[in-house]
Amino acid sequence: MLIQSGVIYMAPVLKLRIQRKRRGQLFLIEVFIALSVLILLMIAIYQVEFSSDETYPDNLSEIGYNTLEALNQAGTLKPLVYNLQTTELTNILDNALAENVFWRLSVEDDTGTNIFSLYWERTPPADASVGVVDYFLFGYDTILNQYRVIHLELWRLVG
Amino acid sequence: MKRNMIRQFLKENRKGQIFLVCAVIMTIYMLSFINIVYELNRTQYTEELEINEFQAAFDNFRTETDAYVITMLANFSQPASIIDSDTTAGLILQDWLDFAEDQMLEKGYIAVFEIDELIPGVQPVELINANGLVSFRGDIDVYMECNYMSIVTQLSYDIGYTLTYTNTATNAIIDFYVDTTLEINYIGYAQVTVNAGPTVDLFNGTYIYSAPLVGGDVVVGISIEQVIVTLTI
Repeated sequence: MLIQSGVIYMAPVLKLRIQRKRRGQLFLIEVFIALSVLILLMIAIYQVEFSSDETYPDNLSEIGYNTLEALNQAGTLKPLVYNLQTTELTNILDNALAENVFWRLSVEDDTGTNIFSLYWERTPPADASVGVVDYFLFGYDTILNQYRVIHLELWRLVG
Repeated sequence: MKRNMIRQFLKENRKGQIFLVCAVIMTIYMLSFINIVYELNRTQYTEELEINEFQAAFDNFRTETDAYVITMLANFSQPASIIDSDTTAGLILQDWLDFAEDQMLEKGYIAVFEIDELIPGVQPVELINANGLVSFRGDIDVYMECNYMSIVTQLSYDIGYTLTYTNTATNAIIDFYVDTTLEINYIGYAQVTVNAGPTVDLFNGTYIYSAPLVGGDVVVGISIEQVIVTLTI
């Protein structure tokens, strides 16, 4: 009875103590949750795909340049361009570029006269981010000063 | 007493409204923060992209100029060469540099490519076609600038295609190599003949002829780049 009465008497005090203790713990948990949300939000911001923004530039020009540079370094590009081997050039570029990357190309001399074009009937969508590369060549074999400018445009089919 | 009443009123009635205002302020703050991070990321990405394109344009120029010099040397070593003097070589090279400059300007970059003449007004570059040696020496000053960076450098060339030989008791060992400012590259897979007769290619720049070379023998080496070197014993 004494114990019972003691319990009955002590109960509100204990509740208060627990509440006071838990308030701090709850606050701490809240802080942790808030910090977690903030960190997750930060991570999410950095992982957002900015390419969905129409004005955000893509690295297509870099891809185009690297492709042409690799072909030139391998000694493949010049024979195809100077010997007008357009079918082979088309195949080689189709194979080198990803399937979701559309491209068109024109080759001009130093006066701007068009030598040949590939897939020029293709037109990039108005809202597409288009990568443009102008790669220039001086000549082929022992021929000097027969300049060519390769104008390559690339865009993505999706995304 | 009055102050306590106000406090009590605020506690009881405005708690929700204050919380709402705080929530709105916090939301605005968070959105601004997100926007700042986004803009920073976007600016950084645009800058990085432009710098990459700029460096790619420079790489294109450097790759082609390196190849141009070798082709010029090849042309010079051919019997029907269009290059008859160092001055002509200088003019041809400067023509290429002017074309490259125009290409850079069309891309929106500032570019100045000039030959740093070996002897100003007299010898822009040096081409030598001697016995067992075909060489080119010249310097090109490069200045390029875009919105975020500039490149100031000099492309320096000192390239010599050389044929040498060593006689043994039974044969001749012919070495064909290209000497640059940085290294010596032995040229394998080339075409080396002695008096128009074949040699055995060891594919490491060494070619074996079946007999020792004697006075009057003519050794001709043709590299993959079509640089022709003639060595008369």
